[in-house]
Amino acid sequence: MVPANVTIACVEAELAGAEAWLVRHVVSHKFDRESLVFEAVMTHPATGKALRLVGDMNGYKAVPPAWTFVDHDTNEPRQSAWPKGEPLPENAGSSIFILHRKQSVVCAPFNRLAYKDANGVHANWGNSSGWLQLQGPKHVKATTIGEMLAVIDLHLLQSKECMK
Amino acid sequence: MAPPTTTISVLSPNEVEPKTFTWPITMKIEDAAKEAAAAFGYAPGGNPTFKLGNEIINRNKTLAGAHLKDGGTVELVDIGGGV
Repeated sequence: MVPANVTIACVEAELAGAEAWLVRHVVSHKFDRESLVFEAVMTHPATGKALRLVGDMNGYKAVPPAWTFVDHDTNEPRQSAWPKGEPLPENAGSSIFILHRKQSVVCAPFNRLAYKDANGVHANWGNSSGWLQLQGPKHVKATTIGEMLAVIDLHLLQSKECMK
Repeated sequence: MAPPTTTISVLSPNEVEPKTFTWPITMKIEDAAKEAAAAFGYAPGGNPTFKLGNEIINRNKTLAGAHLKDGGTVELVDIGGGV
């Protein structure tokens, strides 16, 4: 268990760079120090739809954030809140937006929900506490909030539509 | 004779200010991006490349082959998927 003040310190240490990125990409955001939830409102490149990305930072950075998209207006989990994944061009990588047990998930080492301990898609990655050591030629690597946002944005840019 | 060089500004989502690098135009994007990632303090073991606007630059190209303009600005980003 990571004390909340430690998580807040970890997040705030990364916020300046992340916020510069968010401003450059015209992405509104907020970090709630009570709930430890980070939110960013991104825009789907093809449809113009506002997509609300939520990162539960509890335990950061002993474990990665739990990233998910929720309905922009209701904050409820909803399939239609997700971008439909497309691979990166020129075989640069598969999409990180996948379906697992009929639910969309950010399939990346920087998402707590992808790991075994969250009943996620990657039992072969072990528990999420090992996220900073996970690497490979085909694995995307992002170990700060800014790096994660840049990767999610890169994959969002490939998407042609939202999930139904 | 050494190849000509090009000067590129690199933005990282970890820092507010860009860093400027001067590299031979024959340098591969992969190598330049790794050097930039290290300078920005990225954890080793990633697959960094550059993004120009909304376009990912192929890591196998050279700086000249990617037509990066001298004095231009790119963003650092890691590629790959969840696999």
